[in-house]
Amino acid sequence: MPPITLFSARAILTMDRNCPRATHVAVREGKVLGVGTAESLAGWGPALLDTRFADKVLLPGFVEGHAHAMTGHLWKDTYLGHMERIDPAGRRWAGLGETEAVVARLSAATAARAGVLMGWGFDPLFVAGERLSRQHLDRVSATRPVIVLHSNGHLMTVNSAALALAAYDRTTCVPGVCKDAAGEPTGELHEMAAMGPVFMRLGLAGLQSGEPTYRAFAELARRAGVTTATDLGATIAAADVPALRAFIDRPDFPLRLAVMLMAHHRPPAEILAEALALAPLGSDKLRLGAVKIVLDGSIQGFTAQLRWPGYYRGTDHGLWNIAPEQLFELVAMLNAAGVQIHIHTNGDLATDLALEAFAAALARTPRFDHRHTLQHCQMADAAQFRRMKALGLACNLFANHLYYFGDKHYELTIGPDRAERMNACATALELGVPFAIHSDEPVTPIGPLFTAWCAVNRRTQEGRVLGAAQRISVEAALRAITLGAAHTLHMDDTIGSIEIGKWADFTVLDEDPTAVHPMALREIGIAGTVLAGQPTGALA
Amino acid sequence: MREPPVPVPVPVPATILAGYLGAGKTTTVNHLLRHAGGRRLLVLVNDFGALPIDGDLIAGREGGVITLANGCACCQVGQDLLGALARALAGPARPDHLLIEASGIADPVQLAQLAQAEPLLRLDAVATLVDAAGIRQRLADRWAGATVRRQIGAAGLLVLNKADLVAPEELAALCALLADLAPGAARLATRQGRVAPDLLLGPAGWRSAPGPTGAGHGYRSWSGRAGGAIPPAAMRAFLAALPEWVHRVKGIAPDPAGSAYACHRVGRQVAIEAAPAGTDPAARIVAIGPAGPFAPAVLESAWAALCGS
Repeated sequence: MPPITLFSARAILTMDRNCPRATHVAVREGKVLGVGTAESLAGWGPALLDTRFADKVLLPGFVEGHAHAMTGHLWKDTYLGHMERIDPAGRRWAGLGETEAVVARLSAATAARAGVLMGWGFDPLFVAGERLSRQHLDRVSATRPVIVLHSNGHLMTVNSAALALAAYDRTTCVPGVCKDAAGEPTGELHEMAAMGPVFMRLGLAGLQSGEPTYRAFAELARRAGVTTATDLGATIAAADVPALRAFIDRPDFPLRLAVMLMAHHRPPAEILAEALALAPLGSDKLRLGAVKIVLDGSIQGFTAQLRWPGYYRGTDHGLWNIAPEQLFELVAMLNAAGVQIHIHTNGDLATDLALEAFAAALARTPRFDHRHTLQHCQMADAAQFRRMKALGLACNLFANHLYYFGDKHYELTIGPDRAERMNACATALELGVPFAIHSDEPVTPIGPLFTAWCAVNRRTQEGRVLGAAQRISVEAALRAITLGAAHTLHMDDTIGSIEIGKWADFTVLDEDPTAVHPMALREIGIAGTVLAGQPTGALA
Repeated sequence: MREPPVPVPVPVPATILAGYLGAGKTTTVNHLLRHAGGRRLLVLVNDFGALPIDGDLIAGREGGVITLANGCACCQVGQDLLGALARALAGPARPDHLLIEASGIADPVQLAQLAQAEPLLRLDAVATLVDAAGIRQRLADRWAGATVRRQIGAAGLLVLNKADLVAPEELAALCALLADLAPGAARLATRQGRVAPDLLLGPAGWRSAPGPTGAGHGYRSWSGRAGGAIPPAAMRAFLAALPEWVHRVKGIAPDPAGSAYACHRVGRQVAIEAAPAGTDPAARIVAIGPAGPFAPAVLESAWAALCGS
C-alpha cells in the first residue's frame, strides 16, 4: 500500500460543507484520503505525521482563472512600476515614485545584459519630477536603444539611439511622435503606429512561451499561493504539447495549468479543429481544449464597447477584435462541437453581444453544463446577470480593477453609477451565476488573497469604497478564488476544495482569513503551497 | 578615409484599403492585381482565411507569399503586421506600391498613422469600400454601426461598390449621406470592385515616364508642365482650390531654392513633402477625375495662373 502522509495544521478551511474546518488531512497518492482529526483519520492505517504546517492554516490551493503566462517573459526586463511588485525569484521591487529613480534602476541594469535595454510597467501619472524623456534615457545609454514601456500598453518613452532607429527627428511630423517646445522629439511615442517602426527595427520576436517563461510564471503563481492557474489565450498547437508536458508534468513544476487556445486570426473551422485536437492531449497538470475569444478592448483605454450613454469623459474608441458576424459563426460552431468558450467582454455592449451569440448558439445546439464563461464582464447590470443565469453561463469578474483603476472609472471613464456596480460579485452571488475573481496578471499582479480583499472591501487606491452594495463576505470571496474559479475551468471535481478524492493541493497561510479583520485580508502571509501532497518548497 | 554615404531609400507609397465585411475588398484587390499597369504591387492582407486570389493570376507560392506573373505579390499578415512590413521593406526587391487590406473591423486610422510614421513608407491614401446595397443596414446596426461610421470618416477615397444593385435615386441619396459622414473624401460609384487603379494607387509609370496616363475605367486625366519654380505654399493653395471632381493629383516641382518637392491630393486632402534625392525637379503634374464632369480647360487655366504664364 502506498504511504500515507498526515498533515496537521492550526486550522484547515476545506470549502466542503460536510467538514468545513479540520485539523488534519491525510494524503495518499497525491490525493486527499480524508479530512478531520488525527483520531478520525486513524482507520486508514499507519501514516507519517508531517507537522511542518502545525501553526499554519491550510486552504484549498488558490485557482487563478485569468492570467497570462507571458508575464514570465516580462521579468527578463526591468520593472519600473509605481507599486511594489515581487518577481519570480521572490525579490521585492519597490515602486518608483520619481523620474530619477527610474533612471537609476535602468542604469543599474545596463551591465546585466547587452543590446536593447527594456523597462516595463511605467506610468507617468504616478511619478513625480520631470516627465520621463529622451534626455533622461540618454543618460542611461548614449549608444544602446533604451525602451520604457508604459503599463497601459499604448505608450513608450525611448532614448535618442532608439529614435534614430526609426529616423525620428525634428523633421518628423506624424501623429504619436511627441515633440518638445523646441520641435525635437521628446522620446514619447504614442500608439502602435508610432511605436511600430521602432519595434520593427529591434527585431523583437513574439513573446516567448517556452519553458523559462512558464517556469517564471509558475514561480510568480506559487508565491501568491496559487496551485492552478489559467494561461488565458495562448497561441498553441497540438504539436507543441509534448514539449510543454515534458516540464509541466515533472514533479518540480509547482503548478497545474489550464492553457486556452486563442481564437484569432484564423478561420473558425481551423480553430475548432485545433481545439478538438488539443483536448485529449492534457494531463493531470495540463488542461487543454477550451477556447478564448477577445471581443472588445479595455475600459481605461476607452476601447471597450459601451452601451448608451457611452463614456463619461473622453472619446469613445470602442473596437471589436472579431467581427460580430464572425463571432456568431465561431461560437455556434464551437458550442455545437462541445468546446468550452471563454469570451473577454469589458464593456456592457460587448457583454450584450456575447450574450446574443451564446443565446443563438445554444438555441441551435442546446447543451447542459457547457460552462461557457464571460471573462472580465466588468460592466454587466442585473438584467445581464439574469440572462447569464438563464443561459447557464459563468463569469469571472475583474475584482482587482476596483482597486487599481476604480478611481479612474468613477471620475473619468464611466462615472459614478456604473463604477459602483462594476464587477458585481454580490449580484452574481444573489442570482446564482457561478463566478470567479481574477488578476489578469500582468495587467495587475497575481494574488488571489488580494483579489478576495478587493471583492470584500471594494476599496480604491485613493481609499474610496466603490459600490458598498456589491461587497461580498470573506467566505464568499474565498470560495470565488478556489471552487468558483475551478468551476469555470471544469475542474471543480478534482480541485477547489479539500475533500476526499480530490488532489491534495493546498495554500498555506500564516493566519486564518476568516478570523482577521476583512481589511487585513491582503496582509496575511503566504507560507507556501502543496501540490498533489508535495510541499513545493520554501518561499525565501 | 570616408565611408560612402548610405543611400536613403525612396519611401514606398502605401494605400490602406478598408471596408466592413462584404464591402468587396477581395474583389477589388483582384481587380487591382489584374490591372496593376506595370506596378510591382504588394498586397498585405490583414485578415485570416484562405487568400482568395483568382487562380489564373497566380504564378507561384512561397512561404505564405503568392507571386503573380506580372511582378505583383500578395501575402497574409495574421497577427504580425510589423513583421510582414519588415520583410516587405527589407532588401533590394521592394515593391513599387504597397496595398494594405485592412480587416473588416479595422479602424484604418491606425494603419494610416503607421504608414505615416514608418520612414520607409509614404501614406498614399485611405480608401474605404462601401456596399451600396447594404450600407444603410450596416450604419443602423447595433454592433457594427460605429465601426462602419469610423471607417467611412477616415477615408480620402470612398468607393461606393455594388452600385448596380441600387436604383439611381438611392445612389444619389447614398452619395449625399456619405458626403455628410466624410466631407473631405472623393466619392465614386462602381461595381465588382472595378476602380481605376490610377485612382486608388496614384498615376502609374510616374517615376519612369512622367506625363499623362490613360486613366481608364471611366476616368480621365490631365497633365501639365512648367519651366520655373513654384513656391510650396502657392502649390498648396492651388491644390486645395481645385474642383471636387479632381479625385487625385500628383506633382513634382522645384521650390524657389531649386530643390524638388512632391505634392499629392487625394479627395480634398493635400500633402507636400520633399522629393527623394536625385529627382528631376522640373515641374509636372497629373490630375485624375471621373470622365463626366472632368474639364481639362479648368485645370489648364488654374495651372497657367499658378505658373504665372
